[in-house]
Amino acid sequence: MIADPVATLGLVPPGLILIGSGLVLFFLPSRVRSLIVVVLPLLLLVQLVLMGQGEHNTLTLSWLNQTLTLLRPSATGKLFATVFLFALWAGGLFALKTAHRGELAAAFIYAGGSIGICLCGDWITLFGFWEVMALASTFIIWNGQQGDSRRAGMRYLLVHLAGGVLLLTGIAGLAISGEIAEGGLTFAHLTPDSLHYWLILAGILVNAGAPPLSFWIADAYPQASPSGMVFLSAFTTKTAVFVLITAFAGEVLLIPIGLYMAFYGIVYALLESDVRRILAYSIVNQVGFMVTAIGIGTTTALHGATTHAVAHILYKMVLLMGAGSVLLATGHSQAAKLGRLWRSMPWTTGCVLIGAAASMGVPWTSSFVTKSLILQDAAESHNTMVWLLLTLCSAAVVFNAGIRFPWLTFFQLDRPAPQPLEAEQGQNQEQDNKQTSGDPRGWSRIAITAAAALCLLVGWFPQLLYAQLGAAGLYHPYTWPHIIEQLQILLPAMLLFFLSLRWFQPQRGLLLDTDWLFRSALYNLWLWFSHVLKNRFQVFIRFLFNSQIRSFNFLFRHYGPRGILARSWPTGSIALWVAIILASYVVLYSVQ
Amino acid sequence: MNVSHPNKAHNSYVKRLIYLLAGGCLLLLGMDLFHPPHSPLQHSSPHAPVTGIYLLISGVGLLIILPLSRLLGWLLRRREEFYDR
Repeated sequence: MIADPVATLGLVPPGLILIGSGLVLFFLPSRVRSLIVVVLPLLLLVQLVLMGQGEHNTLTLSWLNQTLTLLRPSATGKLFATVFLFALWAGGLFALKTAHRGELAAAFIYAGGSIGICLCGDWITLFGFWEVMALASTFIIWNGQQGDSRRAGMRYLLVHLAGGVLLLTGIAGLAISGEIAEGGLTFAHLTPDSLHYWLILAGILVNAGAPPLSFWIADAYPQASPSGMVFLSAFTTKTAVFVLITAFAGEVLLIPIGLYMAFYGIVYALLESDVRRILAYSIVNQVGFMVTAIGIGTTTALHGATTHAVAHILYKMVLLMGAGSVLLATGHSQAAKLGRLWRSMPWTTGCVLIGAAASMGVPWTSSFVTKSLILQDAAESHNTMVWLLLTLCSAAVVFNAGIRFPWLTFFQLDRPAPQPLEAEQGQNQEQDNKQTSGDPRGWSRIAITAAAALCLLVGWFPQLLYAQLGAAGLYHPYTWPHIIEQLQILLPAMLLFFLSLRWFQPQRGLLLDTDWLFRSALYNLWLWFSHVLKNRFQVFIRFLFNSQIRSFNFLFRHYGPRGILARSWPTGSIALWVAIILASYVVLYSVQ
Repeated sequence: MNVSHPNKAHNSYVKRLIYLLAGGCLLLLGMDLFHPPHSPLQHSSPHAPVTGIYLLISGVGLLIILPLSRLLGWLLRRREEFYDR
């Protein structure tokens, strides 16, 4: 039941609209589906811009004696929801010609879940959207049709269901502990005084890609289709970042967790030779920056985490659209089979270079004006070691998304350029050059260009982004010392990258991660346990069977046709036995 | 120089980039003389160098990370069919 239908007439939650449209999108004809994919996110973007904030703009629902707050937008939530809608729009355009309709439908539901979380106001509604996200994103992975999509999707689902169980248990604990405000289980900052706090934190951290479950991002995302990975990179981890900002700001445990994630992403991306997996590890690396900032917990650090999440969504979309275009054109994502593509894909190369510059924080790109808030605050809050390690991680981004990814994909000149996909299949070369070996065309080109343009726009006009958080004029990233410092961090890293090219050539093989524990160690332990159990059970069954056989033999021996109790006895023997029994009786009676 | 061979073109291209970047690093080091950098290390240790501190952090830090990463790669790399056994 809607509390005040008249007042809330214009406040239909965008998340629910997207979930509803995702459910019908699958069944619609192609033209109508394309129209919805192109237009609906833009309409919702307008709705979001016009939507107010605070208590006067809430939409509540009573359900099972609980007040569910479907809509209670905050400035941070609105900013996240805005960039999620842009990600859905751009990802949808990129996917329009190549993706299966099931993937588009799942993407709409997935985005609906994320946006629902950003705009909701209580933990129960959040959990509902959380699980919608987990299921929809699994369908996107399953739609990937890559070699290991099915099994990777199942592993992804198991990890996220486990995280969901932790979250639900924590929320149940929150409800039982009596911390229920007047408006229900309000989604707000939690105090670290009970078990449910840690359970909720653990559930959220699973989605953020925190240790020991950081592996699921690089395990599952590259198994999605080229467009599917664009959707996946935008929503799950950033939604977790938003929840951490809202509920766990200032939790010091997040600082070492974030630093671990930042270094984990660097080391694994450095050793990886699949370009889409390099970008997946880079996601963990950058989310590590955000988690560390949330752990620091000051206003500047939280603004840094929020704006860096926005910047990261934008530039990672550009990079993944670039990698996806290469995969569609050549059929390869292994760096050993790529290189020299800048001639045949100049537009993609240009956009990817903008995205790569943004990922490194080159001045006048998005990351320069967002990551600097985190580093500046770490320095000013006297977290010298945190500042030092994050500065080092900023330099090391050159070795994953910054220079290594574009170099391996578009520039490495010591290997021949890959053949276009259809040329390999023996089709007309001229047609291939027009259709598959070149840049993406049409909607796909608009999508990658729009995302790259936004990376530059945020870099050139950072106050536009800061203003969304009410912080316009508070930060001034463009000072000469800051620009020089940033270049001093990046240039030695670039120099070392080219000096160590031979060291980090693409290699075949996979890298062991903590998933080894689940996929190999625990699996082998289970095999051993089931083997032992099976053997013990067989021994037990054999024992039972043998006991029955022995009992039967005993009975048969005595009562069988030749048994002692079944024999026909001579009359003399019977008379003798009767006499003996009678004599015994007489003796016993006389003794008594 | 015959640049039609991929490896020669590659090496020439990479060498030029290295010279360019090395020159850029020197230029940035020189700029520190005009704009002395400010880093939190100067608060925690008065003996921390000022000129070129960011170049030092980036360079030395990466020189530690890169060999360690390579060592980890050597330890952790397995065949692609490792989990298919």
